[in-house]
Amino acid sequence: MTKTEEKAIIERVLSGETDAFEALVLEYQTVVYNLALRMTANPADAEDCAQEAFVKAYRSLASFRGDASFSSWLYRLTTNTCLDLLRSRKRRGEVSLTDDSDETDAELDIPDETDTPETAAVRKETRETVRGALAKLPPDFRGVLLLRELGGLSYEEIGQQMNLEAGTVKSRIFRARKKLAAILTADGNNPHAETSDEREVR
Amino acid sequence: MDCEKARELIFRAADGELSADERIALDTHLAECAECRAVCDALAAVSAELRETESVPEGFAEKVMDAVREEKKIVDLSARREKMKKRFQPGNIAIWVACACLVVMIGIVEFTPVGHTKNVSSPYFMADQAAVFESAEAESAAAEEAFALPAAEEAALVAEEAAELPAPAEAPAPEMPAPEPAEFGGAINEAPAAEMEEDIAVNGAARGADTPNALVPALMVNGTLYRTTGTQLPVEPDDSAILGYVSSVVPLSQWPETEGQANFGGPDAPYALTEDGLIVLTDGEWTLFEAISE
Repeated sequence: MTKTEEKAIIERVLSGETDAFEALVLEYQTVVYNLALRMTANPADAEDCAQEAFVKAYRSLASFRGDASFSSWLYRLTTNTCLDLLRSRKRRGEVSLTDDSDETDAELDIPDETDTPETAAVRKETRETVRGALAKLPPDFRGVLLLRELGGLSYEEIGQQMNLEAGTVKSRIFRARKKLAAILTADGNNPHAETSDEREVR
Repeated sequence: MDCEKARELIFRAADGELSADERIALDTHLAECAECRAVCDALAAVSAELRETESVPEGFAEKVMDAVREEKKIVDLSARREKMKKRFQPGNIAIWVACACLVVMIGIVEFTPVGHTKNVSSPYFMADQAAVFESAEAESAAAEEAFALPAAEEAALVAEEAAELPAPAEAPAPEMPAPEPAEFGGAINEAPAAEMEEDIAVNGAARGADTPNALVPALMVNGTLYRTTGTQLPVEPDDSAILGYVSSVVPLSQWPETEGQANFGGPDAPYALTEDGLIVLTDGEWTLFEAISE
């Protein structure tokens, strides 16, 4: 879908043609759902958040300004919806299924590229390990990292959407990666290895 | 190159930011440092995993569209309700009160027994009565106007609605007047964060310079912040009056920022629109809320 087509669709929706919105849903549902899935680490939550993000986008479509791309705006809505959910869970004292700090088997076994019968299994294990590590990141950091890696947004776009300085975005992504690497390598088993990364320089 | 420098390059490499020289320097270091290689591999695994998208659950788009259509209905409904409410606003209430008085006065004049009038027919009384009639006439004119007003409004509403429906295709530039869903939905609610904060700063200022923070129970509905009046109403609103349920809760020191967000109580508390205004169920009682700013 080109930007022009997208704009035309948005205009149709704004002029009352609600069903035209479906084209946008179909175009972006995969990234939105996967963003939510990585943010919440739970398929049911991911589906709820992804749906809510689309409804929010529909509801506030008129406030969407053409100066940002629709996708970056939509991805931001998705990330924030997930962050809201995670925060409300935390406030309510619900324990996240994935935020298990006692888990010590996070160390990553990088699979060999060679094709062995176990490759698929190892790959699956790798995926689980990576997801586990992602789930351990502070949600805000996970959010910016996912916007960058999954959403393909630039630092500037993320900054614009999240109302952060591009430098702050960069610093968060840097720290998110550093933390991930720490969790996924041997350091991850040493709880003290990460503490110096907790503070953020704004 | 030491490991610290190498790590920095590794993280930047993940964004494809390295110059050719840096790339070579990093590769040289990686060739001899297993630890940094592990970090590099770990990040590559993360990127690979993130690229591997999962397919959306079956029927997802349909569910979204159902929710969107439902949303449109709610928005249309509450927009209509909001318009209805405007007709009964203080300005108009004065007119209705005037009408009511007039009806009572006409009643008094009409049904005053004739004999009785004769008995007390002093010039003063006659003058008074004439005055009553005169003013009754004047008010009757006013009443006609008053009665005509809602009809005119009705017509205006219909015209407005008609105008909103088939907005011409050239219309929606970013700054165009918002059509119904947006006007009601979250024009403010989901506005870029910078504007949001500005709004909140303004609202905060409206509460007095000494209260930069919220510290008063507040709720955001349709992009407007409402604060408690502290007045509990002995009402039980109709299910159809319920606008929604508190979607999330922030600390009392913060202003709610998103639709349905509150800075008090718990999530899922219902809020409803009644003739008195917005009411929210807090601690088992319906409490009246007022808009902080228009």
